[in-house]
Amino acid sequence: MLLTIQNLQKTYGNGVKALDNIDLSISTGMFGLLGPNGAGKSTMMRTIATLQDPDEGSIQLNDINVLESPTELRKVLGYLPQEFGVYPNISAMELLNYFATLKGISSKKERGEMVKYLLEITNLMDARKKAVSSYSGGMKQRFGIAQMLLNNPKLIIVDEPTAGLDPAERRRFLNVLREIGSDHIVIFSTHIVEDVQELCNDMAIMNQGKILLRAAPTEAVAELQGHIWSKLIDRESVESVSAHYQVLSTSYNPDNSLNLRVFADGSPGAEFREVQAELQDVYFTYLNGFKS
Amino acid sequence: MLKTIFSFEFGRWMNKPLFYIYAVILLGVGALLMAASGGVFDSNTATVSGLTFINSPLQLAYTMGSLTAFAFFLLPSIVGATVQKDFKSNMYKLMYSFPFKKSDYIFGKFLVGLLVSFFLMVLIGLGAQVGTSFPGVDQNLIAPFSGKAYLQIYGLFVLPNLFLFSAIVFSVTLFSRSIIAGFVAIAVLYFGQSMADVYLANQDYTLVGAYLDPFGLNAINYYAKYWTITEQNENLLPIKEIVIYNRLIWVAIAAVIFAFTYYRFSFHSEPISLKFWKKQAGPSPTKLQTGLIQRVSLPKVNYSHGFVQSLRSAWALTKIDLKYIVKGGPFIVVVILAILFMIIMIAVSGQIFQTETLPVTREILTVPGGVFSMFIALLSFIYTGLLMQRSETTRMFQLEDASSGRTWSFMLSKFMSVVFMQMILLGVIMLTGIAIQIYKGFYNFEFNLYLFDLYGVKLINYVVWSFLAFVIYSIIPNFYLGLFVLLAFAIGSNFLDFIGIEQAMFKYNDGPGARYSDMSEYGISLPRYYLYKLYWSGLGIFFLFASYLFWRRGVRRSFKKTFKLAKSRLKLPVIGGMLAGLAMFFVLGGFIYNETNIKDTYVSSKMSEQRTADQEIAYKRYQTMPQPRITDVSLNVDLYTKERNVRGQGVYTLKNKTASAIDTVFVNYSRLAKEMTFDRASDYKDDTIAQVKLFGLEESLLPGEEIQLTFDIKNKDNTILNNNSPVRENGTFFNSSFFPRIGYEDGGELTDDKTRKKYGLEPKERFAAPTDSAALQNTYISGDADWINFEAIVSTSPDQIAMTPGKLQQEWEEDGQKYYHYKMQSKMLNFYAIISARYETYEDNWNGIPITIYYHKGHDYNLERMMKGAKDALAYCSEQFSPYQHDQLRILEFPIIGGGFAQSFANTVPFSEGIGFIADVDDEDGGVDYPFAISAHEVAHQWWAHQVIGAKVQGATVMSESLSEYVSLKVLERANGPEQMRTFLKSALDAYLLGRTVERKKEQPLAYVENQQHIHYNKGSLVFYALSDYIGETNLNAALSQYVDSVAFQEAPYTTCLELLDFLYEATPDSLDYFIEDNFEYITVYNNRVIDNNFKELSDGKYEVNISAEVVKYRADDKGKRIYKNAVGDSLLIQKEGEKRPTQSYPLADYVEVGVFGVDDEGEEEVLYLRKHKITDITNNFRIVVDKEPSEVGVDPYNKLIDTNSEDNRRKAESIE
Repeated sequence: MLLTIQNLQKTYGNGVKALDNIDLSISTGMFGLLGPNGAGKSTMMRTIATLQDPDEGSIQLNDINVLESPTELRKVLGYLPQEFGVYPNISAMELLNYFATLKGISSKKERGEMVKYLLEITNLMDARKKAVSSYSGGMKQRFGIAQMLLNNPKLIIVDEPTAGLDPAERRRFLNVLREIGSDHIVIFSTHIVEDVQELCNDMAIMNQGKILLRAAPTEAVAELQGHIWSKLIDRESVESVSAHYQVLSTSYNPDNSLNLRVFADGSPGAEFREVQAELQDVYFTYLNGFKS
Repeated sequence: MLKTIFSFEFGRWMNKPLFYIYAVILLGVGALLMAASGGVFDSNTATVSGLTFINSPLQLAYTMGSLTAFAFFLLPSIVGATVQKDFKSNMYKLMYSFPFKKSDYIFGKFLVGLLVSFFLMVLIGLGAQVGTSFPGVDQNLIAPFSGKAYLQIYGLFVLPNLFLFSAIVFSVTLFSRSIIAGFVAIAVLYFGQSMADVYLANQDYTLVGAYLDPFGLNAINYYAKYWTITEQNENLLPIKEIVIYNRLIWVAIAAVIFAFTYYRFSFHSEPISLKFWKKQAGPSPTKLQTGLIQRVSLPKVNYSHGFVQSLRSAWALTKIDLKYIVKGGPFIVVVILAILFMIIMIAVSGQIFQTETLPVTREILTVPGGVFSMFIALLSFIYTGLLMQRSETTRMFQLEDASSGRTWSFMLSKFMSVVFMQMILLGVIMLTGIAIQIYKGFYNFEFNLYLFDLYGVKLINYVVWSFLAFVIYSIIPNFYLGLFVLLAFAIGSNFLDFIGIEQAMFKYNDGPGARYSDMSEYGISLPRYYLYKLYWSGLGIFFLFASYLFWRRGVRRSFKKTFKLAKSRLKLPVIGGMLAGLAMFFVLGGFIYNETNIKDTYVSSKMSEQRTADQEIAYKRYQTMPQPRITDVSLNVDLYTKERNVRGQGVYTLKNKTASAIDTVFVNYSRLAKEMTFDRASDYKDDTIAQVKLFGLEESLLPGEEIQLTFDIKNKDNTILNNNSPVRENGTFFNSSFFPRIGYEDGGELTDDKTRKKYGLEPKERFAAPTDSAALQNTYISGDADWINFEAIVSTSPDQIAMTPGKLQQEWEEDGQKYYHYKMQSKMLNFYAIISARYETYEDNWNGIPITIYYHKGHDYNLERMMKGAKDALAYCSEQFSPYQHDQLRILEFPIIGGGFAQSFANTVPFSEGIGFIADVDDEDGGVDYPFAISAHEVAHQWWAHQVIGAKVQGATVMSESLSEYVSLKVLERANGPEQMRTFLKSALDAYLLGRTVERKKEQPLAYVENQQHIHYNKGSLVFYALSDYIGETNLNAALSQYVDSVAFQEAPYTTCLELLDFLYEATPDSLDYFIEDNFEYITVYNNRVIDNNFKELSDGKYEVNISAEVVKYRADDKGKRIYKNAVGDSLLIQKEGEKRPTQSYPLADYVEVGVFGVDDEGEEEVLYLRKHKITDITNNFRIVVDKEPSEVGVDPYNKLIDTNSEDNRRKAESIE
């Protein structure tokens, strides 16, 4: 299984380049797409999910030309959009039945089995008769997974699924995702580094419509070892100190002092100590263009 | 802050293209409508002409009323949108944190909405004013500009209505957060107005109708409905009590709504939604807090993505969508309104003379015709738009559109949902109809008819509208604009006539309707209806496939991308579908066009005018040329009812009754009888357009000589669109106009002088003057014969009875046809009918004269009443005037398709199934027994028309229609008592007064009536009834009897109304001569009313009643201008205190009834005093002593005199204590 994206471009009417010549090939496994809000992640996801047309470029899943035969892709696609809605006042079971029909399960019995199974694994069995429009965020997200799996998809696209979930929901969500992702392509967009860290065997960092880094998370972290330095500073000197370094992040300590984390090839100064690189450092390094 | 919000919002509007689109549309619509009414398009279509100004204050009020009413449909997108956009953008969640008060917000937004829409309303008026001065507008139709009229209209109607509608839309939008709700609210108000119209149309409820109308125009109409042409042209609007109350009521309602909105609104509140049931809240499902890992292994299922599966998907979504519709506010509101409307329609209207018709299914099914039909179309438009957007607005599209469901199956589901909704609405009609039938105790439910008419006939009409809705919304993604465009389509196609587009095949979803009759069922109307609906469905299918091309899938695309996508969707099945639709459209369209415009010349109304003028120019000179007269008619007519064909032959015997030889015979032929020969050598010139053959006889026809004309009777073959035969499968009825006529006829000439001038013709009167000796040579029924001998053999299918005037000589069956041979044994006019249907018979006799009613099976509800009417009229006329000339009488039912009238031929009376046969006469409630009355009227024609026939001059119909109506009234009075008289006369008065307001040329006095129905029927019955009251029935009838004696069955010259008047004057005392003069020779109207009254009990137990009453009389000219001065210039005049103008009257020496009424032991009205007093002054005081306590007093209390306000003739008696 291989998803190949070539020369994908999209410029919105207001001049924003959401996709700027993207080339990417993704194979089976969990693929994380990491980037800040507005990086073009959702545009890319929607484009792969056939909801939006690019200006240029091509997308190929195995032998399916996605842009030319969107229906073929949709048959094997599971898509969980970032913010989706449902028709109000319709229960989860009814909606899932509807989606099951839509996705091609023709036998009523099989539809019933599938819906029942999905309600169980997403733990919505008790709430199956309640309207999805009245669900809490987590429940709605689980419903999203249930509908996504109805067609036993080969390509799964989940767009910022963990935003707004409480920790338990998030954990559960990631577990389910991992379970189903083992022999499929799962593209998972997020701006939360931990998600990728926990889940993905492959990733890309994206900003302003461009892919800044394409690597396996572990390799990317390994590559940065020895380049991440930290220093304790006080609040007042943030501006003056920062100006001299390639700052990755600053974070408060309980005593109101600050941890300054910088990127440098060698020791930037005596007060700095070398620290273990993390995926977050990778993210900021590439985002800020300290390395390319 | 108010100012900030106001100027911000206002500025936004001024920058919106939508505002300018609206402005241009409204300005254009106002100007175009006025210009078109003013005749700008006269060169393209029929001439626009009339006596009333198109911009008189009254006319302007009505025109502006309907234009602004249409424009109010924009309010939700203006007044509603100012607040709705805050909700849509979720802005409202932040509102309460902004530093402004609720009042700033509400007033700011509302005022901007009001101002912007008021500005648009002003543009309509501006457009209208500009429209009146377009080049090409006939300035004779234009009143001088009146600023005061515009001020009245805007101040009293446009602005208050705008406030009302805006307040409602604003409120509804604010609470529901939906623009659609605002739209539905407007529709509800329209519904209110329709109801008000229904009420206003019923005499008993005019006041309710006047108050109920939210637009206020019915209140104007309450006062202005009897305004004559002059009054309509000259008066300012009647700003009187009811109008003011109506305005106050509705402005108050608007204010209350606005105030309520203001107090109840808060930024925090949740939207109110229309929910009739609430689900019980169940326990909240528990959240699994653990992060247990679970194996995911999906059950093995089979996937299919084929056609059948896509249909299943479409069906699954249809169920969801349909549920959304039927639980939605607009649907529920409309269903409730529809039911209410049907009930009110059936309760209040559907009456003739206040007598209801039985709720037969056919009648019930006509009720939902107009407004209801509009509502179904409207809901289809609304929901097509809502469904098409629903996936997007709920953001469900991201799930649906990324699934493998086919785009067409989404679309199909929307289409099916709308069609199902239409079916449900039609089902509502059926259920309501059945409920009404049950309520009225009418248990003859015709379920098959219900189902077939609603689903087999009506449904497709709405489906065709849905097709259009799909394509419009695909092209115009803005729901609101799309809806407005659709409405414009639905309403606007009616206005295409203005610019000369008259044929249904050029107006979307137009076409001939399908009409049902119990007798002839749908007959030929159904295939024709289907043909047009299929033709439009062809275009509709094309639209549907075209809208598939533009169907949004995924996120909304730019224009360019949409087209690119459309191009990529243009694949074989779609192209095939589009082509199939187009092929259907063009093939059927071609067929229709070929039938209507090529095989048969299509005659536009403009061409028709031209032809009429051409014929007059070419043939008028033959009018004075001597022509032979028909003396004998002998017909062989074979009706083939299955094939709807007629074949046969006719022979006329023509006699030269003139003193000179005739060498040219002018024959008007018809589609049915084209081929003809004389029994002497002749050649002819054929004008197939005018359908005239001019025969030149080789040997002249000498005075006194006879000649025979033999003609073939044969219709051209019937096609689905062109019905060339008057034969129906059941219920054939046609008259002698289908056979050749001799001599030039002036009846078809253009009558409107403006139109005549356009074609270079001199102005003319509709009828010749009674002094025109040439015109006296003909009866008004027939220009080519005096009295004829008539004989006919008519054949029809064996299960039918065929009938024509005359006595049955013989009947036999031959070659699958049943033959009837009739021969008329007494003198008869050249006027006959041929009738055939499957009949049941009801027989009786009067003095040995057999009377038979031939009726459609099942229509036996009122046979006895009709029979009694016939018998009573036979008795009355024989007794009072002269013997009945025939020895039998037949009444025959004919289908409603043929019209809703009855017509009297010699001893034969065809009578429509729509009147009388299904009347529901309520004897208790004072309703007029009209089956009885109509039957009596038609029988009276055997004397008044068939014995005494007027010459074809002004006043001719007095001797037929007025006197038959008089007889009908008299027998009704004898049979049912005077109470029904009042109802009957009141209806007649109303009909007369309404009739004169729409006069096209000029109002004529009764004695000079030019076949104007409101004059000869309604005024005629009033005048003769009053005359019989004034000079006594015996005196009047004696005079009429002498008149009959003198003129019955006379030869030319024929009698005129002036001759009748001589007899009437003879029978009238000199003191009452004025009555005949006033009512026959002039147009005279009274304005009688009780000003004041009181009574006191006298010591002897009697009561003294003092009545102060006003009697005012005036004459009117032919445009309704009031005349108070007599020939020598005298008039009465009093100046009343507190009134600007003096009260005037024509000089009086009149006898007017004064009455005092009490209540008898049974609670019925009892006459305590009733006498005619001689009145010479405007104000009169009467002191009357009566035996019992009075309850009511009145001047002309029975409305015997013509009076534009018959309500104020009586007043409640008031005790002096």
